[in-house]
Order: sequence, then structure tokens, then C-alpha cells
Amino acid sequence: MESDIRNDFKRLKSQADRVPVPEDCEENDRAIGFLEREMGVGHFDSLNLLVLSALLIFVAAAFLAVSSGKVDDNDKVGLSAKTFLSGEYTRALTDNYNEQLPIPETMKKIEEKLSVFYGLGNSFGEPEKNGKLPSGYEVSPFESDEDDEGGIGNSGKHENTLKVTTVITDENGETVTTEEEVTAKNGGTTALTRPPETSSTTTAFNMYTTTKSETTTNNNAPSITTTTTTMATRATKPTETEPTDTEPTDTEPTESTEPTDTEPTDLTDPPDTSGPEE
Amino acid sequence: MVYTDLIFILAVFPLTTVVSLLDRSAEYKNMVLILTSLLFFSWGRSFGVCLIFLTVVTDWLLGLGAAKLRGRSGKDPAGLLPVAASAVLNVLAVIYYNKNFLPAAGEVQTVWYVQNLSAVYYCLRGFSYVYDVYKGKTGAEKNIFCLMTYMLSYHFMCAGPLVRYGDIQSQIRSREVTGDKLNTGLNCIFLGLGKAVILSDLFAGLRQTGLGSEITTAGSWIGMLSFAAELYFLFTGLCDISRGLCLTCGFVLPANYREIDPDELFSGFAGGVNCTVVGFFKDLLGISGSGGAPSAVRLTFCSGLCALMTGGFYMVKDRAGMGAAAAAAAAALLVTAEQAGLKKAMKGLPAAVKYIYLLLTVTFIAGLAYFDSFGAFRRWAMTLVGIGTPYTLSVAMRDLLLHRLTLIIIAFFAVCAPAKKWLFSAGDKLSARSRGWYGSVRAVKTLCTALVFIMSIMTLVVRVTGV
Repeated sequence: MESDIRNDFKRLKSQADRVPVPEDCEENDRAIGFLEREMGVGHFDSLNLLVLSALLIFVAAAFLAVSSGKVDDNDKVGLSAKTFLSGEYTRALTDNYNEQLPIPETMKKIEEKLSVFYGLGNSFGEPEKNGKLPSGYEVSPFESDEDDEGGIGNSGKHENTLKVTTVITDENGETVTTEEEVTAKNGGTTALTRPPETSSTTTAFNMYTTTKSETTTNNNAPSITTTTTTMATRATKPTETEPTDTEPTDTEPTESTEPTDTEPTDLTDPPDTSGPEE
Repeated sequence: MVYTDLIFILAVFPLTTVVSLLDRSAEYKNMVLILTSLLFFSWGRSFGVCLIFLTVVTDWLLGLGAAKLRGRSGKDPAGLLPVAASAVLNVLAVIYYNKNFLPAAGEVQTVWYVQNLSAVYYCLRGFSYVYDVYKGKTGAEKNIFCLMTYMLSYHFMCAGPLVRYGDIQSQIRSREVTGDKLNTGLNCIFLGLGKAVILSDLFAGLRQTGLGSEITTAGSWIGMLSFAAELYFLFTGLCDISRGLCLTCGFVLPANYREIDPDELFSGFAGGVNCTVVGFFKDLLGISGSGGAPSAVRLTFCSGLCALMTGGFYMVKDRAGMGAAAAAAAAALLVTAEQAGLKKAMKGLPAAVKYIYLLLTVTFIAGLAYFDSFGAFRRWAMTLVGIGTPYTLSVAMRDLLLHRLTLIIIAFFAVCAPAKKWLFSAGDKLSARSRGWYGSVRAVKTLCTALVFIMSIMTLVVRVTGV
């Protein structure tokens, strides 16, 4: 019996000796590495929690402790049952908190500087117009009650159709005003409202014709000089260029503030300011 | 008050978290939660808004009644009476809240679409509780304060998820706030804030530029896609904040949205956003798929019913909901068409084609939601193919796209599942090299999260102070 056991043992040992066992177990190393990382996970999670909670508490405390310096005691709402139940007290708390936010101008500057990294072409020190209109002013040019015969948002008209008002003083000294609609060659530019600093007004006078023209200076000069007097009816707020009166008194004498690309036409005589102006 | 208010993030939330950590008992935490929720809901408004919470009492009583009436077999039709009563009461509560406590839509205000949902989530929770009791999925709650914790908790108010009472019952009675939960919760809150403030603002700007005064073909496409993206990031950002708030309070809840999967086409996208509510209605209407694929007729009917409810809901306040109703109806038809055969037909197509299809359908549905009149929608649709405008791209849009390119790329990675997966797997490979690399990757993640929080706060300060 004992010899049988010994024989079995020897047989099994010889079988085991035939199987090669590596000196360094790769699986063991991998497991150790995994455990190390596991320990690191908890460690870095704690660090993450510490940093984020410290940041939150710091910002919250700073906003509560530091005020913007604005003091307005007149509108303080006291706590009473009536003001609390009506919501007046909590509204006043929110307003007071928002007004007392520290260094808003500095924060805006920092935000503008950091927004340089938001994309390409941003530069430090230049406030970014992100195209966002002030809240409450969202005009959809697609919303129009009239049928469009051509162009969107400008009923019956191409979107770049411009109304040109021409004021003519005839030989009898009578003022005649004509209006016509023209479309700029190649459709004009995509800028539908032009800031005042890019436009100039020149007035050309001759004995019989008074023409007011306006030229724009921008990177893409229009192929023709257009007179902008009335913009599309879809504009809901006054545009920079108001429709002018037919009275020539609204026109300034020739004071071209910026060099123009096109010369006023029919300029033969010096301007006679006394004639057109009443 | 909403999650993106400064006074909430920097005052109410930290204070209530610290106060609730002072005691470990669930009852104390529940009491703090209920009081904070009452304050949150009534902040800046008449306290009468809290009358809506009377439905807690009615739903509690109706739940007890449903448990008694359902009978031993659970199929007694008398048990449907409390369910129907709960449905009617909750619908009235939503109408009462929307009519009296929400501002009018006015001009397009994207936030309005999302703000409307808070009362809906509240009332759906109440109704789902009574329904689940009737169905036998959960027992009737005898302790009204536990039900009050479930119904009133401000964590679920803004943007879900819609949690069933049975899934959260044990956590209401006993939960623990661990370091791991706090860590994950803070990460969710900060990143959700970034989505709801920074990314949502980015697409708001693109929308206004594209659909504003300068009409161009590319602007019409980009503007409308940006409208959809603005809604998406606002909603998912609020969902992330909600999930983070729950974790800081010890609750572990499912996410309320899924990754966009092009294989599922528009149905998957529509079902993936607000997936807990969609799942509840699938269960309620019997189209959850557990008993096999539903018939096309049933699917059409259910989709139409959901569209009707969505449209009717947004139209309660004013006519601005017409767009939402049209969008919901179109979405329902599209989902039905896909389930009926379109999905099968498109199965073999490459992923790129499916993504393009998804973009087209989302743009179309967003266009219906954006405009109040069909004429405006028609005009916009014409500009998509260049009719009515001779211009392709405006200077303002080009500049804005370039100046915000980094954020657009970040938003792309946040939405596109394969790109996100590639990025995370690259990070995991780096982390796996050694402990040092792992630490570096984690440090970068922490730094980015902190930066997102700081930028969000600064954006909110600038927005609020109007400088």
C-alpha cells in the first residue's frame, strides 16, 4: 500500500517536472501593477474631491464675503410673513446677491481674455462679439405676414433692394423728390446694416440737381455707390440710417469725413448752400 | 430658482450639503431635503406655488386605495379608479402651475422649452407611483414623509430623471454619503454646468447669427442645428447637474439620456433623450417590447397620443406651443415610419449615411419647433436649398465659427459617441502605462473640470450683472 502511494507520487512528480514553469510570472506582475493602480485610483479620487470642493467653497465664500461695493439701502426689503410668502423677500435676496457680486468688470475682462482659447482669430484685449443679441431681442426675419415675391424677410422685394431718394431742385427753385428701388450689382454685400463710422455723407450740388449720396467704406467696396435711405420694412428697431426727409435742410454741406471711392457726379459749381436750404 | 442660478450653486447647494452631512440618519437628511425643496420651488415666487404639493397627499391616499382595490389577483378593474383620479389631478396641477407661474414664451426662448418641464416631472412621479402600486410593482407607502421626500425633492425637479418609487424606496429609508459619491457628484455638477452654460450659450449665439437678420443658406442650416444643439446641451446639462446633486445627497439614480446611436436612427435619438420618461410611457402604453414588437397600428396610436400630449402641454400657456405641437407630431410620424420598415431598410447602410440622415431629421424637426407659423417654416426651408437668398455664408457666421472652433470641437466630442470613445480609450491607454502617467491624466482631468467650473461661474456673473 505504501509503495503504491510512493509510486503514484513519483509518477505524478515526473509528469509535473515535464511542464516548464517560468521564473518570473508575468500574470503576477500584471496583477501587482493593477493593485498599484487601484490604490492610486482612490488616492487621486480623494485629491480630485479635495480640489473641487475647496474650489467651490472658496468661490462661494468669496462671493458672500466680498461685495462689489455698491450700497443701496433704499430698496432693502425686510423679512416679514407677508414679504416671504409673496416671494418679495427672496426676490430681493437674489437681486441683492447679484448686485453685490464682486469685481464683475474684472471678471468680464478675464473671461474675454480666456475666451481667446475658444477658437481661432481671437485676440487678447478685444471684446468678442459672439453674435448673441441681448435677451428679449430675437427677431426672426422669416416671420412675415406678407407674401414674398422675391427674397425672404422683405415682402415683395429682394433683400438687398434699396430705396434711393433723389431730391432735385429744378430751375424754378422747386424741390422735386423722386424715389426708386435699385438692387446693387452682384447683390451688394451681406452687411445689411452699416455702422455709422463706415459711412459718410456727401452732397453734390449743381444748379438743377441736388443729389445726396452715401458711400460705405469696408473691406468689400460695393461696385456702385448706393444711397441708403430706407431699409427693409422688416426692421423692428430704428436703423442707423433713417429715412430722410425730402427737405434738403437735413443734408449737410460737403464735409466728407472719409476718402470716397467714387466722386459725386455733376459737380460743376461750388455748392450753393443758401439755395437748397430753406 | 433653477440649477444655473448663481445663488443656488454658490449658496443654497453648498449650505444644504453641509447641513445634511451633520447627521447620518436618513430621516434628518429627508427633512433637510424637503425644507430645501420647498424653498427652492417657491424662491422668488408666491408661496402659493407650493399648493401644487397638495397632490402628495392625494397621491398617497390614492396609492393606499389602489393597493386595496387591485384585489388579490391584481386585475380588478376597480383598481383603475385611483389611477384615473391621480392622472386627472396631476394634469390639473400641471395646468395650474404652467398657467400661473411660468412666463410667456414671447420671442423664441430656448430655456422656456425646458423650464416648462419641472411641473411635469413632479406630476409624473405622483402618477407613476399610483400606477406602480396598482400594477403591483411596488407596495403602497404608509409613511407619507417618505413619499414626500420622493415627490418634493428638488434634485428631480428641473430635468429628471423620472425615477419610479420602487427603485428609490430603499434609498429614501437608508442611504450613505460616501467620498466616492461626493467625488462623482461634484464632477457631474461641474461638467453639467459647463454644458448648460458655456455650450448652450455657444449654440445660442450661432442660432441667433444664423437665423437672425442676415439670411444665408449655410446660416439657415447652422442656425437650426444650433437651436437643436442648444436645447440638447441645456437639457443634458441640467440632467447631469440633477444626477450630481442626487449623488451628493446619497441617491444613486440612472442617467436620463443615452449616447446617440446612429443605428437606432431618429427613434433612438428621440428615445435616448429623456429616456426615463419615454420608458415610463412605453410601459404605460404597453409598447415596452417585453412582449414582442408592438403592432404598427398600436405604435402609431401611441406616438400620436404622446404628440398630442406634448403639443397640448406647451400650448397651455400660449400660442407659442404651436411649433412644439407640430414638431411632436412630425417626430411621432417619423418614429412610426422607422419602426414600420424604414429602420430595416436602412440597416445595411454605412454609419456616415445614418449620421447624415439623423442630422437632416433633427434639423427638420427643430425647424418645426422653432417657427410658430407654417409660412415662416416654408420660407426657412426654401433658404436651405438656396431659394430666397443669394448668399451662402455671412461674414458674421464665418467669424463666429472660427472664434468658437475649440468649443465646437468639444461639443462634437461630447455628442459623437465613437469620437468620445476614441478619446477616452486614448486616455485609458496612457493611464495604463504607469502610475505616474495615471496621475498625470487624472491631474489633467481635475484641472479641466475646475476650469470648466470657473468659466461657467464667470459667464454667469457676466450674464447676470450685464457688464
